[in-house]
Amino acid sequence: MATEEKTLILVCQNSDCKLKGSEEIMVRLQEAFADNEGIEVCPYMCFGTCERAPNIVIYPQRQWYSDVDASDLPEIVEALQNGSRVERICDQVDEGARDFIYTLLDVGIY
Amino acid sequence: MNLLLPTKKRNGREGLQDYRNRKGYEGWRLARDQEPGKTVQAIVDSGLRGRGGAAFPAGRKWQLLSQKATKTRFLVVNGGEDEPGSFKDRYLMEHYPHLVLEGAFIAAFALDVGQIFLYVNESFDASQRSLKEALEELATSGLLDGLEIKLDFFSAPQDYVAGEDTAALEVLEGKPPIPRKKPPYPVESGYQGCPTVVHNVETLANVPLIVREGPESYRNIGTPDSPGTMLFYLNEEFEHPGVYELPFGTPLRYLVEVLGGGLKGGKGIKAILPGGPSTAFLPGELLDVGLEPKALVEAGSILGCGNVRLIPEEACMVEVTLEIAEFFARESCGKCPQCSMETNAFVTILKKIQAGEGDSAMLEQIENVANFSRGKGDCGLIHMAAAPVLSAVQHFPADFEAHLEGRGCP
Ligand SMILES: Cc1cc2nc3c(=O)[nH]c(=O)nc-3n(C[C@H](O)[C@H](O)[C@H](O)COP(=O)(O)O)c2cc1C
Ligand code: FES
Repeated sequence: MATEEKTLILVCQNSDCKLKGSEEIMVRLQEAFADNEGIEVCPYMCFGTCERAPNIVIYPQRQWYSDVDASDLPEIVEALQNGSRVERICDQVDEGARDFIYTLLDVGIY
Repeated sequence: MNLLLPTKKRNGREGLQDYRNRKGYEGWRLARDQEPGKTVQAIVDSGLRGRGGAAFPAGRKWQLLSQKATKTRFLVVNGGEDEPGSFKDRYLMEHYPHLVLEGAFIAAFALDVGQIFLYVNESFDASQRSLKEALEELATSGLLDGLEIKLDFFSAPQDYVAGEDTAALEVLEGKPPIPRKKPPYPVESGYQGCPTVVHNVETLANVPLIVREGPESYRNIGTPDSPGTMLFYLNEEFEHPGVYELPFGTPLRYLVEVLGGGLKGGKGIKAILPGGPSTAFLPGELLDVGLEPKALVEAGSILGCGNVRLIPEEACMVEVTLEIAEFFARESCGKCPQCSMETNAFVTILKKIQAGEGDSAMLEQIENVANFSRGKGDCGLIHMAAAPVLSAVQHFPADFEAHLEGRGCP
């Protein structure tokens, strides 16, 4: 039942990420992909990596962006359109924490 | 069998004279006349356990504190009581304030504490008023003459974590209620870095009696592992709601059926939540379990703070559990990433299950989330949140399956 064919951009909306601007990040991403039916930008409860807030996870591509700043967004959008990733800010958090969240996403928990 | 409360319950506040008529402040007189070490030893020998939820031996805290070289020491009377459905602390403060104050003064004197903080929930007007009136009575009674112990009132915020001992210390220091990393524990480094003992209101209410009657006499009541009595609260869902004092080890059935009169309307019992929302559910058949920390751990839950709730037969455990999970997600203070993630993940999973989305794989993730969070976080909330969810899935799988199969509440 997991994630159908769509790409999910999950933007944490819990306290730490919100404090560091994740609401604006989510709105900007929603605007960027408003016409793209294959991509859905959704809020996420909390990835548990709040010390690297704001966090964004792209699934099923399994890209985890942390310490995201609004100025990083054009690069992230472009990379997603090209099928690449922004190495500079990608997969910086603990692998165990990432795998754990991917397991939840695999069964549709988001 | 009552040790703390008079057999005839009162409506208003028990005044100083009434309290003294039932041997009130005799323990205080004794404690003032004897070596402080003797009072500490009496608490150790009594086997008194903390009533704030963790059942930690009070004597051990007292011994640790009295061994400290630092002479600037503090006592916090924890009257935060933010747990939903818990009423026993405010009941004591409101109706029997002298019992709490006598316990606090004995503890402070025996532990060479210079300042007591009465940390009382900001919404408990009647408790605050009662304690203040009792203190006024004490001031003119001569009982405190020559005493150099300061006592200050502090309003405890209504956030759930504000009752956690180190969060309370933060509040006393003028900061938001965010728990500290432990160790160091408050007895090592508490208020302003000084040795501090934090006790639940009810724990302190046991102290006068132990000092007055002696630890052996106290140990005659209750069980060897948990001597004495405890206050239990039955909510409005019972025929006879209220606060009841019972010896440890009394069967739960006696409390809920004989005293509480069962659930209103004679409803059957599906599940037991023995000690508040942070305790694991037990199947409704286990009514003969003893009300005692050890017996409840053996049964798969904990005694918590004596706030007993019965879930009626017709309730859906997915809904009941979701409500509790939402409480913890709301009350998680946001300091520890794992706690934020865990408490929110439980809500998300339970909402999906409630909506009939997902399958058994989703159910398995509940345990995964709990395991991932185990041992992490700076306070106990992270574990409190997991217990009801895990136990609901364990004991009531049919309710969860009904939702997952799209049949809604059973
Ligand atoms: C989230 C959380 C909330 C707590 N709330 C209270 C409370 O409202 N009152 C209380 O006495 N203890 C509360 N505790 C327990 C305290 O941290 C502490 O263990 C207790 O006050 C010690 O008293 P005792 O040894 O007399 O039981 C809470 C613990 C946690 C983890
Ligand atoms: S607040 Fe965003 S990862 Fe926890």
